[in-house]
Amino acid sequence: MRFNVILRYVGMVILLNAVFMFLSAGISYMNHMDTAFYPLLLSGVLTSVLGIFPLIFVEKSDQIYTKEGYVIVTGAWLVACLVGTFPYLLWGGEFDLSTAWFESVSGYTTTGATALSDVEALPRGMLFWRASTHWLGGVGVVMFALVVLPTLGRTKMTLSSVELSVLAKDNYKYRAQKIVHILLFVYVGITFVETILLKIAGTTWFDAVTTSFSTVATGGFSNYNSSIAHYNNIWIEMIIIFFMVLSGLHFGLIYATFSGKSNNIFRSEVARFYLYSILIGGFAIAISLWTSGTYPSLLSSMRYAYFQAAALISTTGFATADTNLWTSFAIIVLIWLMMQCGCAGSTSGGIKSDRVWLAMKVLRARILQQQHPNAIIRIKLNNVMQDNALVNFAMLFIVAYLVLILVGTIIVTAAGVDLMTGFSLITTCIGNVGPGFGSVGSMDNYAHFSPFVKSFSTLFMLLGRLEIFGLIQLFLIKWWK
Amino acid sequence: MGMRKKIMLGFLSLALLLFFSGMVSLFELNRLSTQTNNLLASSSRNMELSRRMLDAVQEQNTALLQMVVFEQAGYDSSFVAARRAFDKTLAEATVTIRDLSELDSIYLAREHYNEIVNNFFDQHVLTDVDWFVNVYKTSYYQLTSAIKNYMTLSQNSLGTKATQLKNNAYRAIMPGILTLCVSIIIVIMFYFLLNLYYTDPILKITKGLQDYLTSRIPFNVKMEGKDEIFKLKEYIEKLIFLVKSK
Repeated sequence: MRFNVILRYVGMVILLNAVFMFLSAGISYMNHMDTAFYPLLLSGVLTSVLGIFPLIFVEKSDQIYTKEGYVIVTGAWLVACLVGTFPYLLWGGEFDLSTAWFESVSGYTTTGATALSDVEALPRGMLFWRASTHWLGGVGVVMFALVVLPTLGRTKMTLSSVELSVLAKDNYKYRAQKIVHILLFVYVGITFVETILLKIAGTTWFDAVTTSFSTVATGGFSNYNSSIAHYNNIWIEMIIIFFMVLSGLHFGLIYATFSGKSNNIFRSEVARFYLYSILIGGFAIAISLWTSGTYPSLLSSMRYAYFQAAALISTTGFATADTNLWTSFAIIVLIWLMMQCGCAGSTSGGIKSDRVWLAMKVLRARILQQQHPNAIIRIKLNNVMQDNALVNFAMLFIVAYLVLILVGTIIVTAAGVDLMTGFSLITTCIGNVGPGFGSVGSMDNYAHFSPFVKSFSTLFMLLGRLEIFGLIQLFLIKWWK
Repeated sequence: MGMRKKIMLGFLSLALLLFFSGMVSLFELNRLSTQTNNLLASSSRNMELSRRMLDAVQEQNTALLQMVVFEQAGYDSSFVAARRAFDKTLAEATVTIRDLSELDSIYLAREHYNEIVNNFFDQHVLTDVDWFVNVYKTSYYQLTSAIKNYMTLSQNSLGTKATQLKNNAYRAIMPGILTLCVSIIIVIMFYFLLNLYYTDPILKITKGLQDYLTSRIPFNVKMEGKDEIFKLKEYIEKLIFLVKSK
């Protein structure tokens, strides 16, 4: 393990963060040099020095080994989360150490949960920085930094194989170098189009940019305490629904669809499963809300139901209604959606629709096998035979995911959190969703929790973002040898 | 980049960090000091204004008392002077105070008070003591309690301002703490990188040379990079080759 090489690449990722800190300081300057200006400027300087320092000594390396790649990716996430706390800590206000760490991790992991009781008290520069952490985290700090890395070939592939889940990598039909460009093209493109549409629909430029940052990254930070409900504008909600759903899709497929290629969204089994889940789930919730009298008409029920269904399955976590007031049926459907989540190869977290769809196929194959013991049953995804190791790994991931939710729930309830809040808190954090139920509902925040619960939640956010095993491996001493 | 440049840049980074955080801390401390001074000055000014207003009302009250109870008309001018003093103090408060709503109740009470007293002067009749006790005194107490409330309000707002000062103090020390943490990380990195790129290679070259000189073990030191130490190793290899070939 060459620590100098690791330091160099982590340093480059840190530098990217510094760029956004200076950009946020610029926003702060333009807003009559609000109170966030000096904190952001100093953070930018500190982060720049920290990022540049290894580059002074360590020469570029053309070869990165797999283990080094893992450490660079996970290390970059952790260090980015750490430097991301600088502006918050320097600004003060509601931010103490645990709150700043929570806000930073929630931003970079695109969870979008906030530990602030009054988001609207933040100056614009700080709000922009919050949204930037989403945007940076969404594409994957490391994945994004790859574009500026001067090294070519194997280096990129080694890093991207860590950043993307195995399933996502399988879906990309392009060369390793092109993956990065496609990802960025789609990411920037969606952000740009959504910003324009939101502005046309009636938001300010500032709100349009920050909301787009949050949506495309499937984050969920909003500039208002009541999230998207603040606008009370159906056009804004429809635009956000569309882009939340889009951001939950495989970026390679989005590119293929818009560039007229044959392997597009509509031919992908997983994408269809994801879209049907939203359609059916949203409709079932709407019927439940309408029949229970939560909303006066089916149309208004559908408006709120589809928004929350899209927000939770894509792991964005925006809100237009207090879901705590909804029926038990609606809540359980939403919990299912926040576990299933979007497609691999997108910025969403959770188990991912790919694995859930694969698990259903495994279940079907198992039933068929019992009916026909001598039959050789292969599992196919998009007409491609799936490797047994990949299928087993996907099943193992689901088991590990559920076990972690159970263990996490036990620990937070031991810390005094009630069962519904504890369960949904862990589920929402590991899925990088944001809002849950109980005291972490769609209109609530995490400000009332103890520093322990806040810090423990961030551990689950990181576990979810790094697909569980990415983070665990970092702490296995044997693995380092 | 040469060895000298790299080490110089390393130290420069540390110096830049310390300088910048020092500047920000200085700025924040300066702001904190200005705010503390402003807070103390505004608090003492409010107290002084309240005291002067109370004194002026008290003087008006005494003058009226002399006129109504003791029927001494000569106190007319002292009443007018006291009223002028009160109005002047109130106008001064209006100019210096940021939140004018704090003075609303005083203005209201003064209007009521003036109305009653003006009626008294307009009628040119010396009213009886009952009027003084039942009508005038009620208005007088309203005015004095409004001034006292304003005084209490100023004292109460000290708590909020003290919390604000505490936050500012936090902002003043935080750059120092963060810079210290970053500096420690950089020092550790500096130590690690200096060891990796300079100390270890020099030790390797020394050991290689020592082995060659004492035991004639071939000088075979592996090294990465193309800096001065790498050149030193190459020159040593050339030197050994030259010595061998003679």
